Amino acid sequence: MRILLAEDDFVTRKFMMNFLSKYGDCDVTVDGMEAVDAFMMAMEEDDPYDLVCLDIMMPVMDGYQALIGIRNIEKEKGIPQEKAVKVIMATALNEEKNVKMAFDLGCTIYSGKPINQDRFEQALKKLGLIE
Amino acid sequence: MSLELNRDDMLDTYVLETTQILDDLQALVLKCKDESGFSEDAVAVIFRYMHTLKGSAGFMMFEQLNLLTHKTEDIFYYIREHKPAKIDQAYLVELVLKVSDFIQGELDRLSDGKMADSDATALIEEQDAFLRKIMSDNSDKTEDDADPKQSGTSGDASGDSLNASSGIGGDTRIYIAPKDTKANHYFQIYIVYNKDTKMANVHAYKVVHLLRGVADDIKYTPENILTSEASGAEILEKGFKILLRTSGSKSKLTKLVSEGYETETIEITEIDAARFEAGFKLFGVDAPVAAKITKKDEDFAPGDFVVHSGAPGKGKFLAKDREAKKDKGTHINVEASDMDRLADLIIKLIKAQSKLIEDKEVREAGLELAAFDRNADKIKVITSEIQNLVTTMRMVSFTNIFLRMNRVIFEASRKLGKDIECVIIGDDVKADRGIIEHISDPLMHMVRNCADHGIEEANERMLKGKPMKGRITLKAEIEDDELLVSVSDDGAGLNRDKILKKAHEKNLIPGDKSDSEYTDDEVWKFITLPGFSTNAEVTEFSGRGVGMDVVVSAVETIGGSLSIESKKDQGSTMTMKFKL
Repeated sequence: MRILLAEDDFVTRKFMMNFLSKYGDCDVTVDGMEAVDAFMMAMEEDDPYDLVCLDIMMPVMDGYQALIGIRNIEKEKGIPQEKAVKVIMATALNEEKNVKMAFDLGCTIYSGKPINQDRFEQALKKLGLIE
Repeated sequence: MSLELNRDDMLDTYVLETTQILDDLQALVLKCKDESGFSEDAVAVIFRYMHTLKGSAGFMMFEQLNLLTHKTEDIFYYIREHKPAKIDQAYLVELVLKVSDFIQGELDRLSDGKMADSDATALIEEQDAFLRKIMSDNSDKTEDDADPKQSGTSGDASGDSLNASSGIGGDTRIYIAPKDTKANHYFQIYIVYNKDTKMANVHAYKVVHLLRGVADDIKYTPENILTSEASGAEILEKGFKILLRTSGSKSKLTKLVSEGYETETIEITEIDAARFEAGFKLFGVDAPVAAKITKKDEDFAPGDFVVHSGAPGKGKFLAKDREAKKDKGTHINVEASDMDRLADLIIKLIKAQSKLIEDKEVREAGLELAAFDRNADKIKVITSEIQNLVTTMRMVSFTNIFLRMNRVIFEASRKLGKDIECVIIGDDVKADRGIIEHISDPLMHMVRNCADHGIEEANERMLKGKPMKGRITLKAEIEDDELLVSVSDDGAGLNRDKILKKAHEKNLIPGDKSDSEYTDDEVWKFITLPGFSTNAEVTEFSGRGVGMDVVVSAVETIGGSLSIESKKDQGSTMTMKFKL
């Protein structure tokens, strides 16, 4: 599985990368803009990501905007909903309004931080991303 | 149920929304029970409740709850679609209540900071067996086309904020709560450097840096250590203070912190979460100094460097983010004890106020008091308004307590094998929370008594020409200045001879008066005496030797009285009276 990670904080990024690498090849970006670029690039190369993991609070372009960007690109390419990439928002902002907004924008999994790794893995299974 | 303050907003929302659905569900199911059956509307509504519960459990990844409610949804889906004629309605009521209780139990666990992962297998199987039974009982109608697994129920329930469809596909939504924060330990660390340490601020920063590796949250003071050289002097003078949340142990911290750096003393003390949240004003070592830094009653002192869970270096979850919560909803949760205290304080305030206004020294000093009296009157009006407001705030309706009693009646009727309906009158009457709380046990006792002793077996009722179905009526009303709460049944009524016989056995009757001289009311009084119980057979519901005397004393402690009326074969009524 191909995974794209966007996380601006160094320590968290390192941790997330280690964690996600268990499940597939993990590319790393440091803000939302880079993430959207990487997502587009992968599409153009016909090797799209299966999972995108976004932090919310990031410089340049935050996780919400990146998510909107990704969903718009998919829409423009005419990708059906069931084929759309699974997007995980991983963030310490776990107030209801943040969570709601993320789902309204088309996020698949919303994970509070610190990440509950067992549950995270369970969720990936539920989505059929891993065995 | 009291909602504990959870760390996780979504979990709070889930618990709150689910609680509301469960309340509605229970009320509806009990109503169906009393109307002897589930109407088509009720089935559709319960189906939707289950669909929502299933969706939100799936969303929160509570697998057991998801499976459990899915099964209930299946049952109601089948009933909705196939309208089977043969259903054990009472058993279905029981089953749904069991499911509701199970979920409630999980909500309580969540509120206690535990996971909602209790095993629901037994209950799921019980439901499955029930579903299979109604399917086979009614199979002639449906050509066995409805495998419960296939009832791909979806569609009509939406609009709930947590609702999510659980089908695999692009539509799945999952929320993962942050890692269990209960495993956290909180520490305060106090470091004093050697007086001649150069750049103590940088040394301090190195400690912070090391600790960040294990910390979920760290605060320290002085906070601007990396950029301000002056902070070095402050650290030398007052020491360096750290508050830390971590899943690590004290020994791990000790090892990290003591890696050199010219320290004179290091004190690591485990503290509780409250102290951690309170910030540095409660910092044990140097409280007066710390108090200067944190003046306000906030989670964090202004300017304190705050790093939250897993987001080192960013200070994401600042105190100002939290304030937004306050805007939510029009109801707030208030500790009952705070409410009591407020009521007490108001009474004290009013007493003190009248002492002040009527003060002899002032009154007898021969002063011109016209303005004083005018202002005193204004204050009197305000305080009495506050008093009225607090009194109303403490008022609670009988809805919940009667609903609970209805449930008690249902359970008793199932266990005793008697068909009993419950009629509720005046559940919107309101009374002081203290009264409602205190009459809960007495009410339950009386209700059980009615079900057990009052209501006769079905064949006996038939012989008496009464409807097979017994009836227990719960009623609350306000009459003049009194609150009346009564429990009546249409059963056999109290048995005068039996009571008198028992009273003799217990030596409760003085010898100088013959039985016939006692009025009915006097006879009924006997059953309220300690140790009196006429039921020969002790059942699960009543007759454990704890009798009506307990009810009476409970009612009397809160300034009420109990009266009993009874007519042979017409039933009895017990009424609690409280002066308002």
